[in-house]
Amino acid sequence: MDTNAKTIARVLVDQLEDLEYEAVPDVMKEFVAFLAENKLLGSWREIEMHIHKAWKEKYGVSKITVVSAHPLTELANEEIEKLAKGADIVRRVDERLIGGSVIRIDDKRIDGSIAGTLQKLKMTLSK
Amino acid sequence: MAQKQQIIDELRKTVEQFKSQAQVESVGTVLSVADGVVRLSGLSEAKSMELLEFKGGVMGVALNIEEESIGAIVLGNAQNINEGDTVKSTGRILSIPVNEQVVGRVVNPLGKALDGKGEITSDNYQPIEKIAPGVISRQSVSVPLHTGLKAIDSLIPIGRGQRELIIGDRQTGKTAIAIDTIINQKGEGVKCIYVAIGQKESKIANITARLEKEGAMEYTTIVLAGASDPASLSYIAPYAGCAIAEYFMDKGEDILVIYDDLSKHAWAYREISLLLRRPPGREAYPGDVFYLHSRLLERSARLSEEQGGGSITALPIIETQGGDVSAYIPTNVISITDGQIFLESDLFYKGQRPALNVGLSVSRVGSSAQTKAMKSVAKTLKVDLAQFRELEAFAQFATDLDEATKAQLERGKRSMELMKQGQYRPISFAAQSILITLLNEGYLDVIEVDKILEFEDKFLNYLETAGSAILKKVTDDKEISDDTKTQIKKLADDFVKGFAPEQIKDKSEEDKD
Repeated sequence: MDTNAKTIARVLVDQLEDLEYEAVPDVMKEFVAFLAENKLLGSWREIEMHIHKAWKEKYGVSKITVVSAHPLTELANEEIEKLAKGADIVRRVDERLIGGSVIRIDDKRIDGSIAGTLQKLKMTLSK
Repeated sequence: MAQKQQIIDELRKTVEQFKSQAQVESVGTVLSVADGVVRLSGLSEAKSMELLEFKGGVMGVALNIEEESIGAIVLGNAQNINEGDTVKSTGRILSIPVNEQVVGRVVNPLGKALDGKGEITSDNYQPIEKIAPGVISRQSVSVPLHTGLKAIDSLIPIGRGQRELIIGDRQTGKTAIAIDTIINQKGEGVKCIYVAIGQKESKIANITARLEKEGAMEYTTIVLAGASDPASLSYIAPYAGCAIAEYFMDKGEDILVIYDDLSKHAWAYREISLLLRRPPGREAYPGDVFYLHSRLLERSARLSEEQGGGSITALPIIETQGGDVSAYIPTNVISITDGQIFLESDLFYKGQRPALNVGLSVSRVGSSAQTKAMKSVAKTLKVDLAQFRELEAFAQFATDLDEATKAQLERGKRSMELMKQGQYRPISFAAQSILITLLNEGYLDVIEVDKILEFEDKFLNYLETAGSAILKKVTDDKEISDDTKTQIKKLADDFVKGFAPEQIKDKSEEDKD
């Protein structure tokens, strides 16, 4: 079953490539009908898990979270979208960062915020 | 004291050197947290036994690395960790800071000071898990490690680099043997590490105070995972103790490590394993509970001269339930160690302390490390005790016994009496071997059984004053030559004359009967 779910997820991700968001509901309807026909509806959770993986395999990144002290500018937004095609982008504003931003790309984190720098300085001084 | 300007300069230097570049960190997310065990997603590059940093600086260790998630244990308070929190990997395998400063201190398994005498600062990190020395880097046990207890040093000798299990029910004096052994290492050049696993902190406070009183804290480190600490700390405590010991062993020093006790260690590991959903086996312990202890005890070794010649002697302690040595963990540890000291409640309550069962206790390698002096006198003692055990049961029913049997029984009773010893009163091996010589030569046969310990006390005092030359000769030569034996006999003759005569059985009266 495991390989099956993996293959199905991969095919689905391939099918959705270059598709506009408006067309997605139709593809999903067809997909669910296919699952029901093949008695695979019971394992939809497993398929969902593999979709994340297949997505990451295909596009390199599946989720990007940008937390910034101030709302991002248009230009910054465009740049981010250009960087990672196909990834989910979550944008959040957190004033506690004081300035700069923290970007998390799947399991990597780049802390470029003032709050993070101050924290690091505090650790260095306390050593 | 530092000047204000110096402090300001130092601060300026630190701030100038500080680099505020954004760095890429490897992070994960907490999926669930329960009883000190955390499940994480992300952290795809985490290694087994890698240190992880949770919110608020709480540390953890990755234990289960799976395709989708990581199972980790929290080494501290897990109350502030929530689902969804970010976890940072440190890239560092679990290790503790070690240097000469740890000697004389009470630390937790992460190397943090618990005695209020200031933090231990060291740049030298020793990994907690390490592969044991191989065949080539070892040599066989050849130097004795004296416990200062007559019964052990004569009958179940321990050598440096040996692993000798202390096993028995609760309240049979297991810890007492370990503490006496630590006290006896004064001036012997052996550093001691006492690892307390899941112990009451009041008990450790008492032990620390006692060791301080005896001047033994100068060469002792206590690694404490208390009863109120999380199971994860109990789990890593013996490995942390061993890591400290390895630091000194690599410098060519001799170390004694006491693991008190490995039953509680197995419980802690069982708790962690069940929470990590590893399949339970016999008595609900996980399948690798044997490896848990074997990899720890295998790290005790005596290194070859090329490797510096250092050693780690391990005295693991196991608590049995109702004297059952055939339970799972006791049998495991018995098979790993080089012998066991078996303590019995019955003997303890009969007043035989240390409550050593001479028949079931063995030392598989220690006799090759025993000093010549002790070896020569212990041979007769062993035979006497074996014969006594055989005759004892039989003699309860018989009234008429021949003279030879009677003599054997009497000798046996005195031998058993001489094996008794008070707590915190270790005796040097030279004094021990002289005492046993007296027993073998029949000097104790004329003393009433219940006066033996009084005789011993007074004789030891006499030996230190009038017989100091003999004591020094045995200590230096490490053997009892015929000449020395004659001197001992002469000394004993003089002493017996002076020892309260009414306590000595009147031989002539006995002969009349």
